[in-house]
Amino acid sequence: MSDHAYKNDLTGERSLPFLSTLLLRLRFRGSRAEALLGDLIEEYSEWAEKSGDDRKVKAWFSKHLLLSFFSRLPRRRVPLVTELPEVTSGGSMENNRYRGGPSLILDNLRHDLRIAMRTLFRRPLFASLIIVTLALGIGANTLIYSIFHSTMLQPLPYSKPEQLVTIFRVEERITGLNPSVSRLAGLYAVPFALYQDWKQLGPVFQEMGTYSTTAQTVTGGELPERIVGLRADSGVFRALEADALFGRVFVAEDDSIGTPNLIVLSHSLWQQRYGSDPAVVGTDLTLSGTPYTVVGVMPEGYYYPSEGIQFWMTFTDNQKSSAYRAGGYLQVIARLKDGVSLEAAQREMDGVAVRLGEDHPEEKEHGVKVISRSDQVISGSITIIFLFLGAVGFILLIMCANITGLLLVRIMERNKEIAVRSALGSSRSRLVMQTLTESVLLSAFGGLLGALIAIFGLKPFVNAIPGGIARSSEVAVDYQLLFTALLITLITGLLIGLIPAFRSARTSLTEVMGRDSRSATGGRRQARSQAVLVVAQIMIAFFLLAGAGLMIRSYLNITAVDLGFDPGNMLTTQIRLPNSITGDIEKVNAIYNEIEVEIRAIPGIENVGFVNQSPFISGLSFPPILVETVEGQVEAGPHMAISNSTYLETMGIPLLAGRIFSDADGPEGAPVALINKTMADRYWPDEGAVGRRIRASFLSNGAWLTVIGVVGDVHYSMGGYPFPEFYIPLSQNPSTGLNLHIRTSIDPVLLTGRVREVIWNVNPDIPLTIRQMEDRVYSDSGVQGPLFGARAISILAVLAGILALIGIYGTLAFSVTRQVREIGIRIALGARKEIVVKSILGRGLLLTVIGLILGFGISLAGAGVLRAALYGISPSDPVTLIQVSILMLIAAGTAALVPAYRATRINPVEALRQE
Amino acid sequence: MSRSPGDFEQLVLFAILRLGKGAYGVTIKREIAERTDREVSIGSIYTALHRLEKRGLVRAWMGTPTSERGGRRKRHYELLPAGAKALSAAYKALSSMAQGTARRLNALSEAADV
Repeated sequence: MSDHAYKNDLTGERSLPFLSTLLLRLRFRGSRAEALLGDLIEEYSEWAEKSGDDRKVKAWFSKHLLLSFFSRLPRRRVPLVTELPEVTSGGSMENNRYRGGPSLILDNLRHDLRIAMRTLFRRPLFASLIIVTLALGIGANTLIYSIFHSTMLQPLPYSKPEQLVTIFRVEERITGLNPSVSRLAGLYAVPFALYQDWKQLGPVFQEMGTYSTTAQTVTGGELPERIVGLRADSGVFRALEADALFGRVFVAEDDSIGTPNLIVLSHSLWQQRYGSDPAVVGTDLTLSGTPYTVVGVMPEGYYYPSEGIQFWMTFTDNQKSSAYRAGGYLQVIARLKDGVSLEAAQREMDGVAVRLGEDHPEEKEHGVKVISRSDQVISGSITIIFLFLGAVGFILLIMCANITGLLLVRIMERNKEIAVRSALGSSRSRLVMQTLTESVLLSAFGGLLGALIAIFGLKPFVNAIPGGIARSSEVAVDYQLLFTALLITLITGLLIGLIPAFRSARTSLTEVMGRDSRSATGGRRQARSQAVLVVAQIMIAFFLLAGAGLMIRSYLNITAVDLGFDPGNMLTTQIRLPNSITGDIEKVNAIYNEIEVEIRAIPGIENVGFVNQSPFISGLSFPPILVETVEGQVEAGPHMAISNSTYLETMGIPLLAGRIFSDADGPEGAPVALINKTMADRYWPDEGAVGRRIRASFLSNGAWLTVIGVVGDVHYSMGGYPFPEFYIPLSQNPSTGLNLHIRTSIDPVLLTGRVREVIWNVNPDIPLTIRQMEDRVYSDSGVQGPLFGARAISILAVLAGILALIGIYGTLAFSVTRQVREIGIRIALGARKEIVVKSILGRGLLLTVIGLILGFGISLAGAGVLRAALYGISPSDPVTLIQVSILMLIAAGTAALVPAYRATRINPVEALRQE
Repeated sequence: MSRSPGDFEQLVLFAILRLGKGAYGVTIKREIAERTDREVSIGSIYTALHRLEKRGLVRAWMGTPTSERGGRRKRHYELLPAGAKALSAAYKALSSMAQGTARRLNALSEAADV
């Protein structure tokens, strides 16, 4: 049927397929192309009748079409006269209108392209300047949009990703965490017992699984090494519908208590440690001293549910059987049943939470939140991506406005040519098309270069984002990118071309001639278009510069924060002991003691401290406790740290009241705690905290702890705020995973090797990452993220500012040129130079002020976008906005001064002679 | 007249001569194909015709549109006196060179075929 239609197409009225016709017509001249096509069709139809095999005939046709296309027939030519081509090319002017008929439009298009090329190459510097500008704009936009598209818009790479959800516990207790740090603030990980309740009571889910991140020590290589992976149950694999490359993933039986320890390897771990040996399945891998049986290997690139993990291991029996409900550490992932909405699931789980509250009083204060998986995955990087998307979009707009301004000047210069052409019968549509072709051609070249920039810049850019962005491994150069580049290029071409094109169409002969013989009143409309463009540029530049200013201030605020401790001259490392030792608390204490003694013996060491959670090194924990206030007992969730007696002194955390831990606070002594200032202020604001009591059910057999002192607040990460915190002594609360802090009196770098040696002398199986505290602070994503953002946005904003200034300068310089005669006459009549300067400067400043006012407006309106990215500064901070406006006003004034000065140098005699 | 027509151009000229009033792209192509057992592309025929036209050996004019050609006109060709002269000169040169060699040539080429 379709074949038949094709044949009819060829022989019937509608003739050959459009594309082939177009190709031949583009290539060959006039009647020869027609005859050739006719011959091809004639032969084709004969062939088609004779032979039944349509495919063969079509193949024949395509082959001959191609052969004909490459034969050396005379090609089409456009007459060499460029200024007034219509008159010479067709003979009659009638021919030169877009009257329809594909061949005529095609002829005109070819014609326009040729002229556009020639016009551009006649001023190569002008053209290449525009092209490079456009390339940068289009490239940056393509790049950022591609990242946005593959990380935010693409569905997650699972089957039916919309069914995947993450379930959190909601806690009402305020922990003081900065809510702007994450949209997920207030949502908490889940204890195992709660997860099991949900699994039993949540019928809206097909599957539910749980996992938590774990770091394990691998020995047997050259050095003991820490690798990161997951504890996971079989539900995770079922929910994600993931299968192993070979071997198997976990199955339901593996989840029950008493099953052996199993592990699934990632593809990269399998390659590195086993040289891709498939016989690995069934063998044992010892991690942190415990053997795990390898059951499977995942496919290459499979790191889900979170990026960069190396293995999946079963939970320990202890974890599985824990009835502990206070603090959670599990992520729960689930797949909704077909047809169940997120809202329905949320309602269902709300009901579950209420029922659980009846059985378990401690659950009463908790709620449940069901979040779509994709929202959760991208929430961390959404701000930075939107920031960039906005910034590069605005930059492109400014660039367009700027280039439009340049093209307007060009049109003005060619006014006479255009007027003559239109007087000779060139239609408006022809004139518009000619100008548009030029701008689209410019943007096509720019787009080509821009696509290259995007292609080669994509990966380096993604890797440069500190802390990375979610799903960055899925960012790749693909058709999407090319399509984006094409689309942006087209839009850009039209944006920069439309105003000049319609200006050129409205050029009238009388106006042009009149302008030349009279004063500078002509071209006023041109001047108005330019003024609008300059105002728009200043507006956008102000918006971007204000944003950059705010981000710089925000960054400075972050780094200026008093951390509450002295990060200088300090070495830090985590000390994770092998599992074979951690079961025996005596041994653990002995090892830590030995390490402390040995390190103190190194010359240049001032102090040594141990703590289980420390700033910029390890995670946080907020266990639920009771606080005895004047009004009675209240529940609270402050941060908890277990430290030895020298930790606070080593860190330089000041004691504000009472005393710090001493040798008296041993296992036999009364249970004690220290609290920080924020906690003291919150619960005992007036009466003093020393001597008050707190209680945690899981500490010291649930005994009350007496507060013996108040210490200074400490920041645990950058860009956050200090939260209530309490310290308990290591001597009363033995802990196996500690961080080591070493205060040195000399450059800590010199001691790194010695410290490592000493620790490995005590036990060679301890993996070590010894780093300076300052280093950790500086490389924290809370510093690097804002630094990167501030830098990148600043570069873009400065670029925007420069473009806007060029816009002002160009416009004023052009208006001076345009008004040379007028100014000359005024000078000749005795106008003082100040007046000339004032009028030009005044015009520049007026445009700037209008732009700034509008910019102020959009900055205030767009403040909300920036809020999440700022620290310690309001997005509508008046100081920053005013500083930026003053800066821009000065810069704009300077840019305007140059043409103004030039105007004063106009020699009246020469100016009048120009006529 | 700069040079004599080349091998392929001679074939085209002969085809036009044979076809008389019916000479245009398709028929010229078919004539050559049938007589020489050579499948040539329409494009190369137009290339040759264009060259011949430029050198004043043939003349072309456009016919009227017909429906079997999708409404496209034919480009008819006719041999000009200069063309006839050039063709006959070329043919003469070739035939005088070939004179008396037919038997040996056949024998040799048959041997080559084996």
